[in-house]
Amino acid sequence: MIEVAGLRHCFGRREVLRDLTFSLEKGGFAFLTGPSGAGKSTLLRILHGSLPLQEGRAVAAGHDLAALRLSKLHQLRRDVAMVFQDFKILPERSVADNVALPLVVRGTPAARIERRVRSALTALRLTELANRPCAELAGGEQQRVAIARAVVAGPRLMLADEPTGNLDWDLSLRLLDILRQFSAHGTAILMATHNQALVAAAPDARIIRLERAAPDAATVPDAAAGPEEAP
Amino acid sequence: MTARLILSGLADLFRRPSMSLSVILGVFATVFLCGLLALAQVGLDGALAKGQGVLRFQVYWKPGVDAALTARQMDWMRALPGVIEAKAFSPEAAMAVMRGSLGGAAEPLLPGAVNPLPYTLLLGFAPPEHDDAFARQTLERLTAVDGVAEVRYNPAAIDAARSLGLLGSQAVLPLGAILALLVGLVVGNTVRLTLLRRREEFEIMRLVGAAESVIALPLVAGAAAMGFVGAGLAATALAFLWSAVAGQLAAAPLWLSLAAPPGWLWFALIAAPTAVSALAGVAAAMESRP
Ligand SMILES: Nc1ncnc2c1ncn2[C@@H]1O[C@H](COP(=O)(O)OP(=O)(O)OP(=O)(O)O)[C@@H](O)[C@H]1O
Ligand SMILES: [Mg+2]
Repeated sequence: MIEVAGLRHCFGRREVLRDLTFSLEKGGFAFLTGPSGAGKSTLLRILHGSLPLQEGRAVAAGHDLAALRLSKLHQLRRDVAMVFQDFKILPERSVADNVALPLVVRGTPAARIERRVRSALTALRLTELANRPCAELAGGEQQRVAIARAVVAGPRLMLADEPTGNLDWDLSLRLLDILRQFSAHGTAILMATHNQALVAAAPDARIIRLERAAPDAATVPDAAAGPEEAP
Repeated sequence: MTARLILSGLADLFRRPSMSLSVILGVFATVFLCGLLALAQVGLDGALAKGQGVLRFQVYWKPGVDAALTARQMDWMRALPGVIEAKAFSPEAAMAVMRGSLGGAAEPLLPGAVNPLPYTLLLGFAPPEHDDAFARQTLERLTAVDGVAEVRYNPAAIDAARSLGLLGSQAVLPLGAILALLVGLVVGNTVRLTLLRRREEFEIMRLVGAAESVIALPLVAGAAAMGFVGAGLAATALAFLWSAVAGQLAAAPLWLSLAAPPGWLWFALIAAPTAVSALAGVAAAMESRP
């Protein structure tokens, strides 16, 4: 579902990702960890087609990012859903409208949209809030809206950027449980998190660890690569 | 899907009614102006084509002349060499037309009184040779008839009209182009404004898998609709104006009958701004692509 080999990414002269190689199979679940600034969001954005692939190889849900054309970007994003660190939900729209958006832009029939939105809201325990504008919700509730939106269309791969960042411990655990259920149903999930306790709560999950790159690209040692190598 | 996107684009217009209305008004004003010029051109062309090579004289009798004598004089004039058209109006007929065009307003002024309108005859000659002598001689013969008050003949006016028409036909194309540009700018900038205002929304739609067409189609449909409504209103207003003016011209004292503007002109007046608006929408949407 994800294949990354020899991936390198720089912002200007600053190297953020270096010689990164890993893979994630269909229905697999992996944590993406590393200190702040290690490039977790950067990697997820590359896999989601929001940042161009600079060097190396990256394939997400069968889409080769090196060959990705702008006119085909939406096809990648229909297979690869993302939970954003800053949610990216529409504050003035209702919870149900936000969750329905990926289906609406695909032209899904209304009856089917309603059914899928209802089950996504149920899974994330948002049914009560369905008609509330998102601006009125607490941070944790907004985060759950973002997750419901990511799962609603049944993506093949889900990239989650700190999806528990605004949740308390109990909710975090429950969310982890929900995500693992989705992955058991065939959705591969790559979840970036700082939360070591959460990582420890899923001991069987794979861990892809990024190290913070040195500020000057020239002095970077061979430490930026994740320890997980492709099998 | 396509129909749904188009419908959502139309629904969006009602979400910002004041903005949509101001764009429609802008298109209306532009198309109305352009249409006015085109119609004037068409009317003038028609009038000139009819008058090409024809000398026209309008003969007015004094009020209260003897009807039988006037009728005989008119018959004589109709039989003059070179006459190809003649249109006579009796005071009664003229009054009827005036009533028609003035409505009831003319009524209370004139009940039972002597009809103050004169007999009049419009004569068109095909001159044997295009020379001033013929025109002058005909003018003298008509003026000399007993009971005739006045004969109007003015080729100068026709020349002036012809040169005005020429000027108009030369101005129509560049003016049309400028006005098309104006329509495009008004509509295009509005779409650009919408794109800017809803930038975050469109960005999020892209992030959850919206194709560019899903974002652009409602905008283009909305733009085309605004162009269509503005141009349709302008064409309607022009049609009313045309029928009013044509009615006025067909009455005393001009008796000019204008041919109806051709169907393609109406079609162009509506189709061109709609197409320009849609294209402006497409252009604006293309610009906004990441
Ligand atoms: N658009 C950008 N332009 C320049 N530098 C950037 C840009 N985006 C990220 N960076 C830099 O790249 C590095 C990695 O950023 P990134 O957001 O991927 O880290 P992260 O691992 O997600 O951190 P966090 O855990 O705090 O979310 C940071 O030093 C950041 O400042
Ligand atoms: Mg991050």
